[in-house]
Amino acid sequence: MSQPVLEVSNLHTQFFTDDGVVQAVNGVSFELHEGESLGIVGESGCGKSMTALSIMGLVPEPGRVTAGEIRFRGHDLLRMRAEDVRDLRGRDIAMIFQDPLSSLNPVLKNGFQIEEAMLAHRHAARRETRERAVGLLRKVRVPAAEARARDYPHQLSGGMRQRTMIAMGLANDPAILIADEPTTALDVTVQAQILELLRDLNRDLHTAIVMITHNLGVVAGLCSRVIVMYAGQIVEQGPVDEIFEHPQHPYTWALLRSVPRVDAMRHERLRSIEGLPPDLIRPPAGCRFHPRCPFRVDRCFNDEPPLDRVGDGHVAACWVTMDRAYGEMGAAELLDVRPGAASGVRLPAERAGG
Amino acid sequence: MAAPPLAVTQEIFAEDLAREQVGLWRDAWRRLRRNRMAFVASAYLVVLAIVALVAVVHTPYSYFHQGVAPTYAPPGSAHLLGADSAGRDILSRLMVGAQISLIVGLSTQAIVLAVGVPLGLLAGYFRGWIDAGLSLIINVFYGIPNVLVAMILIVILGGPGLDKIIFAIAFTGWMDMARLVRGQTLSLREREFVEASRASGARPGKILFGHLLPNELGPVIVQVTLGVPAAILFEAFLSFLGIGVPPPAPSWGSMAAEGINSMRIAPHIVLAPTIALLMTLMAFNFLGDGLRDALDPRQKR
Amino acid sequence: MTGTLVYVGQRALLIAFTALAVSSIVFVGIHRLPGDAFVSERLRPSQQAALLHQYGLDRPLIFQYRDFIGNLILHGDLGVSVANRGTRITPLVLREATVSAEVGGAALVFTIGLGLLFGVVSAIRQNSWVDYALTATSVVGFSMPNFVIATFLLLVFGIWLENATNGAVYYGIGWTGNYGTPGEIILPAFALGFPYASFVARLTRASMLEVIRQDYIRTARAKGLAENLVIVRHALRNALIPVITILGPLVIGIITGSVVIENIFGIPGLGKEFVTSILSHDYNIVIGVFTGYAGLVGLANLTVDLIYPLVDPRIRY
Repeated sequence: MSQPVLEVSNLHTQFFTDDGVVQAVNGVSFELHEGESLGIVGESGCGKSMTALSIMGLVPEPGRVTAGEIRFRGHDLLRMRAEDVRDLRGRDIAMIFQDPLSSLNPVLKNGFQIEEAMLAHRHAARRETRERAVGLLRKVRVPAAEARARDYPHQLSGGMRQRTMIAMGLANDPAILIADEPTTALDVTVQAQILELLRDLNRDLHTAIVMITHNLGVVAGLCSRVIVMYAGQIVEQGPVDEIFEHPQHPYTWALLRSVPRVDAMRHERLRSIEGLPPDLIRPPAGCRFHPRCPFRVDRCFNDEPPLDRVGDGHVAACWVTMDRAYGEMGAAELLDVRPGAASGVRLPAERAGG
Repeated sequence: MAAPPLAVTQEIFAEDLAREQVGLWRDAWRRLRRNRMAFVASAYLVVLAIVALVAVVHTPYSYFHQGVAPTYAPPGSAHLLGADSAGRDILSRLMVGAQISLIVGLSTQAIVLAVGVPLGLLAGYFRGWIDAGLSLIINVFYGIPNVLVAMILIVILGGPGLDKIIFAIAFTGWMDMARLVRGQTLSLREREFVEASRASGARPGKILFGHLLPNELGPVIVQVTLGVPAAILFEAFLSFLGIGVPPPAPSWGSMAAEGINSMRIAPHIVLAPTIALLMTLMAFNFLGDGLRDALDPRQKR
Repeated sequence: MTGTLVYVGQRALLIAFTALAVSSIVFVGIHRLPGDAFVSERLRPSQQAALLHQYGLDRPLIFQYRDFIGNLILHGDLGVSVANRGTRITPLVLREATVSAEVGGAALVFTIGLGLLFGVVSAIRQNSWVDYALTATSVVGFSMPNFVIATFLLLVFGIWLENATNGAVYYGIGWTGNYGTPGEIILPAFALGFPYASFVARLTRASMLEVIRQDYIRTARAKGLAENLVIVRHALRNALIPVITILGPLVIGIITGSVVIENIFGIPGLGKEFVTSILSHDYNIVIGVFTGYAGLVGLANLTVDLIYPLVDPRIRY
């Protein structure tokens, strides 16, 4: 198989704060191939955005990438000079963000902000860039593109603004477009439109898309492969269909369960995941999910599970895996999802005593 | 049991608020103590106040007797800061001048507090014609440089004099305070604790002074602390122009005005009051800044 | 466009109205003291009465006011000076207002130029020694009464420079012709503007620090823009918005300061005239100068308000 367009190996990004060192990204490795659409899923604070920012070289103070490699077409971005990374940024790897209102400069015209993306990387006449900007707006399906280009961001609707951002991202035909929660701030119907747009762009332009989201529905609609992150680490990775039908990591399983279903019985309570998000300064020992996992066993408290193969192109980091949970712990009929509920392992002390 | 009676609710709110406030004040105090510039500034101001007080009963020489020293005498052992064009000892005049500055600074702000805060509270809380009237006055005077207003006021009141200066400066200053308090009151009156108070029958006076005012104290304190050097500066301006405290009172401003005439041959005459003014104003400004940072620490990263 | 024109029209009317109102207030307030203008001339009572009558100062206040307002609105005539009889006030005020505007305008350039520069540098080098140095300079600058700065400048340029070079380099302090020379404007403009530059610097710094944290700055960097462009084109333009809001009070402050500066440097502007006329009890001129100031302030505020939409396109009239 051809070389992946992006290879992340053992990435560590840390924040050096007054309260301690926050392990935002803790040993993340994955590959991205040309024209692929990859989803990164996880709750807030799990490190998915920070992974993307690390790739772009935009980690804010007081954070830093402290270890690992990020190879774009073979070149390690972390060992390149700052100017060279800046060249790549916006030209070969582009990123769009969550809130298009605050992500667009309110005092500059929309068209100009798109043109700027082009002008940052090459000299071109303004007439040419203006035409291209309008063309890009048309490609992202903004009606009356010429007029919209001369307007300011506050004059557009949320969906239009996000399309403008996408146009900005695609201005230089990048190999990779990273989208950090692009639909979270939008209405549901507009969400669907944007996702459809991204899917079509991925198909027509062969731009690889990395879709970062906490919403599994988004991933299902757009991506071919998905990475599940928790507490700064990858806990599961694989083809979308496979993950949705046979999730192996309990966190993924819980995520899928927690999506409210229209056809659920009225009296069924919303299924949330017990417990609080992990402390990234002093993370739990062993498997980071064990304080919240209904299927945990003794080993989970002390040993960190590695990413093991659990299927075709499918890996998960779990000592138990859902296969075993279904087989031995009755996961299928499980109603009580408190930590250790299914496996009977509530607290280490409890066990030792009992 | 139904929801607790509103009186109880109000008590709880008030208690929580009180606890929150004590915490806020303690935090602010701690932050202020750590600010070294503010500390140095406060030390200087204390020394200044002591000097001014001492000057009431004793100065090295008389501040208005002419000829106690050779005219234009440079700083020396007999006269630490030299003498001016009329042979008066500059150090003594400077000390008495400190009294003038401090009196003007503090009394004008006292008036500003006494007038501006209640008016602002009333206008912001009751709205209506009180607010309309106050806003009208403020807007009329907003565009007019306060120096001009003050000078005309002094003329109308009959000419230069310490009391008239204090009145004129306070007159141009209370409006800023009223506007500040009014704005704060407007935004605070919608908060829940005010509604709770009102619903449980508290009288307006209690609401205004027991609830609203304590919460607005922060910016008010900062405004007053920065208003003192502004008033001192204002008085120095007026005295410099000859419309301030009349001679032979040694206002630092008029001393500077006198000194400019003899700048060529005796620069120390103008430098002494100038530097005194500079240090005093800087001290108050650093203190005010420190207070502002202590009471509103959003500046940190 | 029409919206803007209507707005300007409305504001112009408001300015005229305010100027009239201010004039009237001062007129009434000052005319409590009739005849003071002639006191210093030590005239015999009969001469004094004759002069009072000649100037109509012995009539009831209401008639005096009617004439005054009538002349002002219909002819733009502010009357004649009482101390220097025969001097028409309106041309005097207009000429001096121009001079004040010149020096004030130059001061404004210093204020904004220096202030923005200090503020931006402080912000991008936050908490470095550069930041602390500039911030300290700001506090010092703001605490310095402008006549103190003026004094130091006079000392240095007017006296020490001459002494140090034995008279070779000489800075003349004065005012040539109606509108002065650039050399004569620089020093007073600097003294006038520097205290406020500190204000602008602090505000710019705080504003830049806020703006730099905004999402659109991250977007700009994500596009691969050079850091200079990010700072100037993206950050600064947004950081300017709060600075523009204080331009109004800034202008008023500069006008306040000009009263003293003009006196020190001997500049024939409104400020000098104001002080002279108050000290010589020439109240007609006082009223005239006040009216001139009201007009000047109004115009300045209007200009600031018109600049606003240029910086922030979200504002429209």
